Amino acid sequence: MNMKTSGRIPGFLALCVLLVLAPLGGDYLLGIVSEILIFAIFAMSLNLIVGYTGLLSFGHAAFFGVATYVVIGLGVHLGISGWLGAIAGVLASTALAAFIGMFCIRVKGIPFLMLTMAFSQLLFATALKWRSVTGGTDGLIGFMPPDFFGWNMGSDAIARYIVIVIGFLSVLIFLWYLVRSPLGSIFIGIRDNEQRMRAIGYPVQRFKLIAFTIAGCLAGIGGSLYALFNSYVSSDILHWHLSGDAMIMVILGGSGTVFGPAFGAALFLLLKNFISSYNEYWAFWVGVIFIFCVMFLREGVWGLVMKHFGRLFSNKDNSQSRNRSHSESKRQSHSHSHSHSESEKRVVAGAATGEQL
Amino acid sequence: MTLLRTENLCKSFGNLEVTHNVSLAVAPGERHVIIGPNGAGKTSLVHQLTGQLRPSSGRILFKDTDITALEPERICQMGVGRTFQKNTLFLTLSVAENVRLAVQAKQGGWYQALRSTDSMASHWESTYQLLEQVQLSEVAHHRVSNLSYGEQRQLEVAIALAAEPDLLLLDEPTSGMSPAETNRMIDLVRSLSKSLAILMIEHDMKVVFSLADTITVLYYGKVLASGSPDEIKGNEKVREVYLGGRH
Repeated sequence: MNMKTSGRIPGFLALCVLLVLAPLGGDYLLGIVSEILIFAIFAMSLNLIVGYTGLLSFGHAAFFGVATYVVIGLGVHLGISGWLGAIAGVLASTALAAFIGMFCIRVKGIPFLMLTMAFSQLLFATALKWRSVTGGTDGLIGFMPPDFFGWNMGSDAIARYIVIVIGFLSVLIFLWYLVRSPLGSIFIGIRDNEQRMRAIGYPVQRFKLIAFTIAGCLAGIGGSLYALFNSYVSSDILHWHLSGDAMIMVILGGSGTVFGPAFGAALFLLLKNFISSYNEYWAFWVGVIFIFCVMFLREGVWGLVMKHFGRLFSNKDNSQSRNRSHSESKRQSHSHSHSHSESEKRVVAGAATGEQL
Repeated sequence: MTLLRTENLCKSFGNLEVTHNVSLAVAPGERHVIIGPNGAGKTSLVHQLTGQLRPSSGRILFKDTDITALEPERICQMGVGRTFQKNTLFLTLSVAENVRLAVQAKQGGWYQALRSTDSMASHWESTYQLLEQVQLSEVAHHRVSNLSYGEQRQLEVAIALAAEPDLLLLDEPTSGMSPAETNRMIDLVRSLSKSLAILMIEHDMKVVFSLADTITVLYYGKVLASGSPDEIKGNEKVREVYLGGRH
């Protein structure tokens, strides 16, 4: 338990320092970092259902895209401020997730995946055809971003960036708390063994719906921020490509941790930016790296990083737990014969509950 | 007074009838053991009692309430705990967290999203009591997948007990265990509160006769005989199909 916090605080401070330094790199870099943070929110929200609840969804773009459409649509058609629009966008995503979730959670595995994808493609088709409202493939232009304490988010990249950072950190901290809470432990239990969860008295369906709705809400936060950042939306945002990208971000970064998918989002977008400036087949190379991760890095790149750096952070605590384990082994050696293997069998506390950073 | 009663319970998969007109009763505090050769329909019967399988016809009454069509989670909440023949645990979690999840199912706090589970003192208190009871305190912080098979069987019992059931269903608790582990499991079952009724499936005759108040013999989905251990030992039909031939 101590290990988790002692590893989390230096990591979190390092992240904050990076976020504070980013504006020094100029507007181009700031734009990339802002986009990374938005998609990090999106990928982390997807990971709540994929990595923590064990539900493979391929329709997560629906919740991201609907929020973006609501913000831009309300602004362009009705002249409603982006702030109110953002609140409406998050509410719309949450309600949509609760509604779609009610149907999807009735099935499991591949049917669940297909159903989530079908719902999101339904929304995509609507956005494509209902041109008077959505602008179809041309999109909606003319959105006026709101002011942030006197700074206009349309003209000032730093103002946009600050709002996005606040959103990102809120979601990150919320998820860190959630996965360690009683509610989060129920999600993890469902991922690990749904049958047993029911046998010990949990109404599993209800909790799947809760997880799905929370994930939709968080994706909505990402989508609303994307609207404020981009001031533009077209039907592409609802296409299943975006759901697929988010899934790749989750798997690249690693689904076992809260931060992994955020790291995956950074990797994905940096690779996309970097490779596409040299080679138009950037998606091919991302694909190669993705296959490599699936085959050799089951815990993702962030999982690999944590395996090595986690040790540095948690040295003190490991030695404590090792001491405890020794005294236990001593006690145990009087009664059981297999006590010699005890210290090898012991796992680091963080891994034991399935979630670290 | 009966705690659990089944009335003419039937279950078929296509042409295969795994449960045929099974009527049995378990009294409060009774130790009731179900025996029968492989394929007799023992596990299917337990699955029906706890809602994993829906019976084709017949009724199941628990505390005089019809639970035939209820979901597993409702049946557990009413006071029926169970273990599984094949270990059904949270393999990536620690031993203590496995039990704490089950304790939390009973004690509540399900919707707290911002409080750490570490701070749920009453959950952990009950968890460590249960681990003490099944002698797993020493391995509380190990990952379940690192436990020995026998220890995992003990953990199955701890998780079932966390629901504080009135009826405990044990599906072959000693299957695959070494003789030493089997003895430990017998002691564990003996040490459980006398007010707890236990319905147990068991193959090991030593275990059966050392624990049972009542024995029911299942044979191809039907109840062949039911009675005290002495009655079952003396029953000609049982000797013929089950005890005689192979034991």
